[in-house]
Amino acid sequence: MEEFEEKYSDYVLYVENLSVVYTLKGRTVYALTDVSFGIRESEAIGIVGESGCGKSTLAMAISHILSQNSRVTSGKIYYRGKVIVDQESGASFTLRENSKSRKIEQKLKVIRWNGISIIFQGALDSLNPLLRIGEQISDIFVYKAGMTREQARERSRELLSGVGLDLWVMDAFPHQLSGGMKQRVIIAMAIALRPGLIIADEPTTSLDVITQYRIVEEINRLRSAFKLSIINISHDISLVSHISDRIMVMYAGRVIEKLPSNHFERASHPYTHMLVQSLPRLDKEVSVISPIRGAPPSLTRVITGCPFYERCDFHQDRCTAEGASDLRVIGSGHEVACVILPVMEKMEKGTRAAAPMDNDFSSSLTEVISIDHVSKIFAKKTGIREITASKRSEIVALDDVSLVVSPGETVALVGETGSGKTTLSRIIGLLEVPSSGTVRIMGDAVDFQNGKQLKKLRTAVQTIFQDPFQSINPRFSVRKAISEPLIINKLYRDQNEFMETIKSALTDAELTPVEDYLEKYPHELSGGQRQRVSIARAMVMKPKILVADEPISMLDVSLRAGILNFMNKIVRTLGLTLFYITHDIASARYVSKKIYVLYRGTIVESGSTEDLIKYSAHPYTIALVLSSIGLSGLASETLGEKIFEATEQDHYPKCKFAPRCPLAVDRCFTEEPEKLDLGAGHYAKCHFAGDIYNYTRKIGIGNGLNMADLKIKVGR
Amino acid sequence: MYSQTINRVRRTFGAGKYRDPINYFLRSPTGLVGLGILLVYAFLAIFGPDLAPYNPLTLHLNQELLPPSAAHIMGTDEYGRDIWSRILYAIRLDMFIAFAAVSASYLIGVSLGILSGYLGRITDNVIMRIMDILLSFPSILFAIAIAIAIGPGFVTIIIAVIVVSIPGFARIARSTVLSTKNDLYVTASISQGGSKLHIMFQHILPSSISPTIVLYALSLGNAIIVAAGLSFLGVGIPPPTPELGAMITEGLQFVVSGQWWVSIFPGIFIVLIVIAFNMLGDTIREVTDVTMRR
Repeated sequence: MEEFEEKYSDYVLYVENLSVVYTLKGRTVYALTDVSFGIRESEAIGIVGESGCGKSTLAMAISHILSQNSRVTSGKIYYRGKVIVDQESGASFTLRENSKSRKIEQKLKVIRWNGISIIFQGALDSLNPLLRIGEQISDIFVYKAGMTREQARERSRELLSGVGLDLWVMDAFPHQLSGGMKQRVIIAMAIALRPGLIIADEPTTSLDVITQYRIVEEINRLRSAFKLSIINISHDISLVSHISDRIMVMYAGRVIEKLPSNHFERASHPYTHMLVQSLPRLDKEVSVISPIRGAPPSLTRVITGCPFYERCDFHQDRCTAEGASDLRVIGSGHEVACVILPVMEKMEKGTRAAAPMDNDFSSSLTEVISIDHVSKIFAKKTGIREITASKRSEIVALDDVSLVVSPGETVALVGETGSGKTTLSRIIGLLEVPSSGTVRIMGDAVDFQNGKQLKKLRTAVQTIFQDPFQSINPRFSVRKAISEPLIINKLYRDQNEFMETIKSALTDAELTPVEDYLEKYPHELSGGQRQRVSIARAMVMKPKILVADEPISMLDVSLRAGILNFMNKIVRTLGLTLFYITHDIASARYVSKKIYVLYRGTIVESGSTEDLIKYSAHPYTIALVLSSIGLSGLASETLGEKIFEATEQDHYPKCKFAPRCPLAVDRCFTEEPEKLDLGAGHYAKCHFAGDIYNYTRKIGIGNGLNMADLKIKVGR
Repeated sequence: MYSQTINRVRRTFGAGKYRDPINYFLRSPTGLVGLGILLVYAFLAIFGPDLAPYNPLTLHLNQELLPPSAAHIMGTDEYGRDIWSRILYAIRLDMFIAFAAVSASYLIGVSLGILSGYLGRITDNVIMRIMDILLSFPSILFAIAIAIAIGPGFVTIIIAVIVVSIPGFARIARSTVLSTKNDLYVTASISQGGSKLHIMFQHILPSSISPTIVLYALSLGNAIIVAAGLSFLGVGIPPPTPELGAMITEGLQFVVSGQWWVSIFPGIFIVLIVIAFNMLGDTIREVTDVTMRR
């Protein structure tokens, strides 16, 4: 890097044939292979792919923070026409010791924050918990722009109001802010020095659905206001398409498709297409979602030809030829690395084979789960302050929840983080004792002190947990893990039957050939396989009720469809009652017939799936549904700005949603709304539910409905 | 059988895909040196009586305080006893004390810790407060108190070492239990109807072995120091039985007058074995704790 090479000066950033390798335990991992793309002034591109496809490596290479064991083997990265990364500079800290690298560091100093800034994945944790927000932002101005403290504070204030935050945030500590607010602070810091380029690595992953769109909108607004160029990295193709002009799909360290973001429905690479197909969506009729079979190829060898070959349904011999994975232009701004370009329309036509049907349950029972006025209150940790305080502080996780599930019914519980949905799932799974109210499982009122009864009922209720990486003892082999419930409950007569049960459970879980899996340990399995093992473990007990607590949220996108389909299959063939807990209303629609919406421990709306989603009667449900469909207009206009102010509170008004509700009136704060019967088993807990329901029935959600109109229509 | 044992070791000490504990241990110089020294000590302890050139107790009043020579490689003490022979017997005694006492306190401490962590509430409070009381005395002082109560001797040392080592094991075992208790796989086991005993033996006990085994190795070194220290102070093994700490005391008065060998050689043997136990313990910790590994 003796002299800067002037090239691609009309691009803010140009990546030219970049290849990066890692050395891991003596083996070479080809993390990026021949990646090229450019990004112009105030353009936004989205990079999409499942984990391990090289998205983050690319982000790190651009911002020069690759780890020590990595090496740029070919290619260059240009920032405004100047080389910032090439083979010599290595894009990592490795060479820092010698004088040449110190020179590189000097140049980088100019580029970091000023030129390129990066918003990391899990950015919520990247604020220092001990410093006030104002100080953290001012630091950038003080150290990078040489301002005085006063000037810096002034600029920080401007910046915060620029991202739509109130000024009190300046003096707040990070823990006082909600996730969305923290994310906005991070974004403010990223744009503080007006960089030419921002790299956002999964900027909204840990946020709630509604807040996600607020952040997306903020990024979009800042982009046009400051002429920013943005690289959005995500696994969520539909979200990215909302904030990007172009989308780049990565697979196995390569770019396999580049397309304009409004074209992603017409994706031509089989992988992109399957990625789009593998997610349940709200804005279309329910169709079968199909998983992508197999796993991404190992990157420890050089792949010639198409990297997707083994998983592709359309592969032919010529796919393995050299150069089969080169990008070819097939339309304006549309390039694909596929030599076949199969017509994939037929995949869309399958009509909901996985439709959750209510099972015929030939039993005298009318209700398998019955939750009657159940509340759960957690006492906060008692310390000096709590003892001296006049009132003991408590967290109300569930507030007077009642619900009934009939045999064979598939029910979903939808709610955001902190809504109490996991608490409810634990109560139904007999793992948590309610503070008040009665729980009936299989018709028996549960006595949580009666060990014998609990043990008996537990064979009927089985829970599938969110995190497949922790729900199986790492010291247990698959065989031992699955045999555990058999041994506990003595569910076998002889050794023969014992092994047969385990084997057939694995076969049902599609972990075949069974012998390959029996002696494997959890760390040798993928997330999807582990989740299958834990489902198999639950199924050997032949339960009547399956409680699934966010079973897919920790899994990779391409695996989710497989688990959902598998769950649907066992629920249908065995006539199980499914209690599915999720934050994602689209997947709830895919597996369930009935939905309950939980907000801060209260069920605000319930009804049959299609009715509830199409004709929601509670403002919160409407916001959820609109956010899941993907908003067409601005989030703040469609949903109202108030809805994003979700902070934890000690005391809630009578209607807990009132502080965030765009329709709220004084009455909402003082008078608890009644549960309103809207007919056909549809209930909503809102003073205006009737009017809202009439309005949504008339126009339907997703047809340009917004809160402002709703406000007028509801007569407010 | 052999490969099964190896596999069990692998599973007990390394639960992640990045670690092969045996391999790691074999590539660690500290661990190997520590293990090597201990093997030598073990050899000396087992075959001590056969290797000793003289009787450690027989007095040779015409041979007192001879400097190291071909006949007496480490010299003789004030009663003309061969120091090398006495050291061989002393190693045997000290290692026996260490292993017996630490093993006993391991069993007691870990059991108490698991009970305490798993049952919680009153059990936890009672057990842990007793542990706090034990911890609040300096260990040597505590041992002296025991020695005064029941008189100096072999049993005194063992009881003293057991008592001072128990709180450490109990605390580590308890903290492991507390973290394992809330692991999702334990919850899963509860939801399958697993009883407390089942969970204790299937999930909690296996996971508390590897952290406590580290402390076991480190405690062996500590036990030797306590045993030697007590004898040094005269409340441990009474003369004329050879014991490393007591031997240092015996030679103390001669160091000034130039007969250094009487104290120095037992001292070197104490230092070496304690260092070896610590090296081994540290390596086991590195093997079992993936965050410490480079």
